[in-house]
Amino acid sequence: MEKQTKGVILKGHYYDSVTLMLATREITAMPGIEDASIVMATNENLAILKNAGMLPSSIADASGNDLIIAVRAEQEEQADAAIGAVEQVLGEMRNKQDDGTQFAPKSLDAALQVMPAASLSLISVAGKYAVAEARKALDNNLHVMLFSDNVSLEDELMLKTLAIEKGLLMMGPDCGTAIINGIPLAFANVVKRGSIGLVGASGTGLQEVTTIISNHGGGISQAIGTGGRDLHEKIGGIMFIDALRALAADEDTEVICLVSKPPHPSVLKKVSEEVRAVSKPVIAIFIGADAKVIAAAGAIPAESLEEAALLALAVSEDKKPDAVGEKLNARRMEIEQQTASFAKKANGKYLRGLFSGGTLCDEAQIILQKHGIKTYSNTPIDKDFMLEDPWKSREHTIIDLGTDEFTAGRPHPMIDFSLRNKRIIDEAGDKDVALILLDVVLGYGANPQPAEELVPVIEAAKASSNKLLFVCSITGTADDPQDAGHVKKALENAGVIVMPSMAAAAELCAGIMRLDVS
Amino acid sequence: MNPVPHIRIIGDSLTPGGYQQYASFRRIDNFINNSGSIVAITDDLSLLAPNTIIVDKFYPEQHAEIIIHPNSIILNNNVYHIEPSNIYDSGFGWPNINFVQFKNTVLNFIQLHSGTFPKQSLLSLLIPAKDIYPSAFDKAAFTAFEHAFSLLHVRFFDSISAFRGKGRGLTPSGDDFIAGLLYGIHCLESLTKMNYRAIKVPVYETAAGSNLFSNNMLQFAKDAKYYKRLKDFLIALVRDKPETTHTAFRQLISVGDTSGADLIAGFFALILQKPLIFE
Repeated sequence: MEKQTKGVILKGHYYDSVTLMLATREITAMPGIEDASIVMATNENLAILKNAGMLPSSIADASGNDLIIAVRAEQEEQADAAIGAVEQVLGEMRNKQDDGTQFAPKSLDAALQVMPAASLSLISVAGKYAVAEARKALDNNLHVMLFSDNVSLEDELMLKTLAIEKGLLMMGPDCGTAIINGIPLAFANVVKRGSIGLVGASGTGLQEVTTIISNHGGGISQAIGTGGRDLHEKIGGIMFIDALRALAADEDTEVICLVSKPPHPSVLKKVSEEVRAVSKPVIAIFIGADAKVIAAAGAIPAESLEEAALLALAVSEDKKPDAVGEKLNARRMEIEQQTASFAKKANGKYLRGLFSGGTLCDEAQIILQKHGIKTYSNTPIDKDFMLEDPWKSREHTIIDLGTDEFTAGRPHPMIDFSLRNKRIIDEAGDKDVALILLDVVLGYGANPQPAEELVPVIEAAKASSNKLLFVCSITGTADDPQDAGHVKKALENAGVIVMPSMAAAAELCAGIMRLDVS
Repeated sequence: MNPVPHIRIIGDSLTPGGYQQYASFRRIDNFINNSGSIVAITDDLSLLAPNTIIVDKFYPEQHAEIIIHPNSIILNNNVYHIEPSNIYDSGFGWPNINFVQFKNTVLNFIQLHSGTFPKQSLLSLLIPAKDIYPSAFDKAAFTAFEHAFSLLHVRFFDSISAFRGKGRGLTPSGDDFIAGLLYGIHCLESLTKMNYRAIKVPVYETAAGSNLFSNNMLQFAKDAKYYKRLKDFLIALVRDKPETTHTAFRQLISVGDTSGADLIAGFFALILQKPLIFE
């Protein structure tokens, strides 16, 4: 059947380029639409449309100040429907802020007028404005989740001190994840509600622990993020400790789980003293830190995020923590048995890890290091293994794609996969690469179609490389908008080895690389 | 009824006269006078430009007209006196640095940041990307841009004609690129102590067309009047401080879908290629 190219001119219509791009995407997704373009009708653009076979014959009398909509569809009616929808789509985009149901107040004051009973403010503005906005929210007696970064330690301390004086939570700066009273904030997953409360100075760390708990049948009472620097010497863990006290006093919380990168020793001491005073069971995972101090304070230490989750769950179900160790040891043996058969499918010397979650990236490095595999990184555990150029891998390399050098001008890699996808193809082109390790983080705020975006890239990488293995873990639940089950199935169908946690994925990778598959 | 706004800062290139409402967007209203000059109102300080009025609270289409006098502005019958301290200086005096040294700075910047360049922007002319164009229009447009780019060094004015008016956006990408070239010429003439007015004027005349947004942008570029985000980035680049350069670049390329990126692509292209016409 002959394809139908149709179009219209909208006289004197002006839309910013982002609106036009989004509208084009919406129209292209309509049934039967093969291609669509919405551009200013300059003579030059009309010529380009003609060259591309996209200039409808009916178009005449257009000027550079007009908009042209050109659509190619399988059937004429489909093209007409798409064109008919354009004005509506553009109008909806323009009027979104004027629609009462989608009112987007431009200031905290206006937001409080609309919702005077609000008790929490989620702030995500450029760093230089963040402090003033957070201060304003605290002054209005709102708990604050501050997603923004680039806030000085001095300002962070000032905000947190003020919050504590007022009995408020100051989550952040640079706080990416929290679940408060069952409401996921920023990057968070749909997890079951229950009796396990968490305090975390690590966004993806909190996501990994909460999802594993939920996937094993447990539930979360609260997950309070503090921002990654709360356990810095200068901040002194004040919000971490305050959140711990809050959970200790919370009637719905029976077990507390602490999640962080290693605290400063002086802060660890303070946290330990606080843990000692808590009567509820406390599980602690301070990734890469010596567990003795916190264990001496009476907490149950975990060596991985997965172990922390399973320990919290076991304790909440009145089971013995030892059973978790036994279960994980059995799983390790299982992995060892599988390693040889996986290794046969790989050919090359090196591992490349491409991560969207910083804490998952750290955890993978630590586990690999424990197995004697040193990895270069842009966020290395061992400073001697700092990559000189984060854009170029060398030997075994693990990259955190969420750091500043990769996120300039684009959304976080948990949302926008394009950079990682390109890097996957680049790494696949290196004949010495045997294995690519990925994290796939689901939940609110994350990429809505991770499988649909990753699978074609993985298939292309595998097609271009002889014996390249992909291993990943999925941080998510079946109730997440992306559906962890669907993502797992799609990745497995593409030949990816999907492990139940990042700890398990890293252990498998370590086993394969130690077998020397070159 | 929306409250009367307070003017915070204005650009230094508001041509006196009466302006009528022309095009309204979520964050900015544009007004036009009889000769096609545009004045914009917004409350977003990052959109500060030679022709912008920044108010404290913006409501789309709040004002039907603007009247600009040499020392005052009238918005909906409210008179605002222009204080010199509230005027944004869009000029940029390039420091006394060596051109070759600056070219190396630009090269290093591109090598370090190429992975962050927005997909489908004309920065892809400098660091080619593979098959990133989703529609037939985008593919055909990029083929045309590649052709235009191939002419830049030897057939400068043919290249301008070939970039003109092409591409997505309220100001088509090709026009953004040409504006970037004009800013690049200003840089070149400042660093090499030359006067290239005889080139800049015909570039503007070749590029200007019926798109009034493009025309205004090109005129500012010809007259070396800088948008604040561009100026912030270039200052950071000249100082060669990676952290501030990185932040300023991020802010610059966040303009439009690819508009800021297309503009800086033109600037980089001029510096890196230094077309034969400037020899």
